[in-house]
Amino acid sequence: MTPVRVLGLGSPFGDDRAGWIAVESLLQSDGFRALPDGLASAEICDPIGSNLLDAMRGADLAILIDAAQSGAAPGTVRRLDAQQIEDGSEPYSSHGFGLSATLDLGRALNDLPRDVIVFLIEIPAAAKFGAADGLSAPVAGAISGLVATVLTEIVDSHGVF
Amino acid sequence: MNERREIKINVPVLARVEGEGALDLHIRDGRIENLKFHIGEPPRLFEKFLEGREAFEVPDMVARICGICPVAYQMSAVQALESLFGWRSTPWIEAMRRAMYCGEWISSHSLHIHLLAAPDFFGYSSAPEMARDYPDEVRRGLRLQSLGNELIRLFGARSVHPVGVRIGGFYAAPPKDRVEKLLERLRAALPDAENLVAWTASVDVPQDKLDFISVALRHPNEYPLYSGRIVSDTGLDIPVDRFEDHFREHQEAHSTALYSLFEGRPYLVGPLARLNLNWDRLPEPVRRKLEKTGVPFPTRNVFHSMLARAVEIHLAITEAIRLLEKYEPEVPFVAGEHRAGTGFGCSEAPRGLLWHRYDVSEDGKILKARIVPPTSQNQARIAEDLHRSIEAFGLDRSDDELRLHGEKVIRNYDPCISCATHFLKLKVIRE
Repeated sequence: MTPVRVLGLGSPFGDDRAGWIAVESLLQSDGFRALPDGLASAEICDPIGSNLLDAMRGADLAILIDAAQSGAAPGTVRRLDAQQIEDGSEPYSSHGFGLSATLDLGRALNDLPRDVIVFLIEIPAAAKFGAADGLSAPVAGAISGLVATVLTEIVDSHGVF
Repeated sequence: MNERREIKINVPVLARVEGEGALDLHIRDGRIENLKFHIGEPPRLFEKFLEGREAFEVPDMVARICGICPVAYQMSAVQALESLFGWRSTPWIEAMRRAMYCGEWISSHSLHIHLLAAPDFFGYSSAPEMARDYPDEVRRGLRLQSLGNELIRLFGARSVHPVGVRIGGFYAAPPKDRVEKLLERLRAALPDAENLVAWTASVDVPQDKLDFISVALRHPNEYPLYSGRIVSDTGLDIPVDRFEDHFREHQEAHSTALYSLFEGRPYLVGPLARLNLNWDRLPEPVRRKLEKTGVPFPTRNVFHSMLARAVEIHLAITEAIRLLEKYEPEVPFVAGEHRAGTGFGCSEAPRGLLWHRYDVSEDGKILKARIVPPTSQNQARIAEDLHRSIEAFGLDRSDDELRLHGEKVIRNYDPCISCATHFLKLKVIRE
């Protein structure tokens, strides 16, 4: 269990894979491989809810990466502190325990890492979510920049190098 | 109360249930004039997707019907296809299926009790809100859910839409060291489960005695989960391939899910129906714990569903320990020839009876599929319960009280609306 954990959220479909692909690119990057052993891990997380709380438990810093649609230009990456994400009006249910509801529950239980940072990659409003749809060009183009930002975040948080 | 008022309550989107459900209530002159429990989720047409697919694809396809009970869909499907093909699974395969299924019960039930139903009985509008005052209880719920997910992952590689199940058994046998680690966690969770039974029994639920028919599987010597005969408390006792002789589905205009009736009457499936019909099949320690609560089973109070779920978590943990205690990996599947014909399968999903029927061609392709999920079976019962329960609660209550009570009644059934709306007959009239 590493003190820094990077978790890719999403599904195997189209631009919703953005968080997963970002994690895969991170794992393959030289910068990530050069980090001291035992400092950081990165994985694709089983969908949110208690699985996400499990995956973050015990870490000092959790970095979550997910796709988002907010109307911004596709490919825009936003960095949010989890404290900034209010529990939206999304109704939660046995299946759909959304990201903000999960963070809200974690906060209520005092069960979140000291720092939780969420990176949201804007995907096009007309994004397709078919099994055969790859990332759209603006989303694919944002991945390498995001990976570099995440690496900086990890390094800064623990004062390595 | 002589005051007569006309009240219209509309709850457009029900929170803490799965999928798009809604409730309309129209009271006139102190009587319920109209009450409708709507299921408005778009139909999902899963049975049509299955037509023309190879039989071996079925377990992975039907797992996608539900994110919370994929194992149930897989188990009813493999049972139906294996019985048609005449493949006899080994005691090891049967035991491991039951163990994996226990994981789904633990996960689904603990989620429902702690995060969806409990806030109703403690007067909170959401689980995070309740968690601020009852952190230990909510943490227990998350611990148990996580344990159930891990048990599913042991056999299926992931807890949502697991991929380890195939017709004939499993793609792989879990390694012994992982099973041993999980066994430790299961043993350590027993006190949580026992406390949960006592806690749910102590919750102040409405005293609401209703007349309803319970339907569930029954097995000669174990609490029903993976297999059994279909029985009711009105004397029904049939093999699963006779389901269609007694249960009929029909469509109603206000719902995209089919209604199912047992000999023309609504009926209950799920934890309470199962426990009502099978409390004598509980292992000794689980039955003792239930008896200690003083709540007598069978019960006519549907609000004891939360207790029934807790008892089934205790049962599932106890069973999983028994099934995995002397675990050794074995050949994880059997195989054989395909055969044309019709196969039937039925297992107990967390929410109740899940019945499948497949017609298969000579080259092993699905010609026709029929899937009857628990929520569509409970739909008529929920509507009937709402009617009586709201009347018993008192129509002179405030709109907010009536709305909350209606939601409470519905949530108590833990309906999975996405599962239920997989089929719709479309009739187009053009003039």
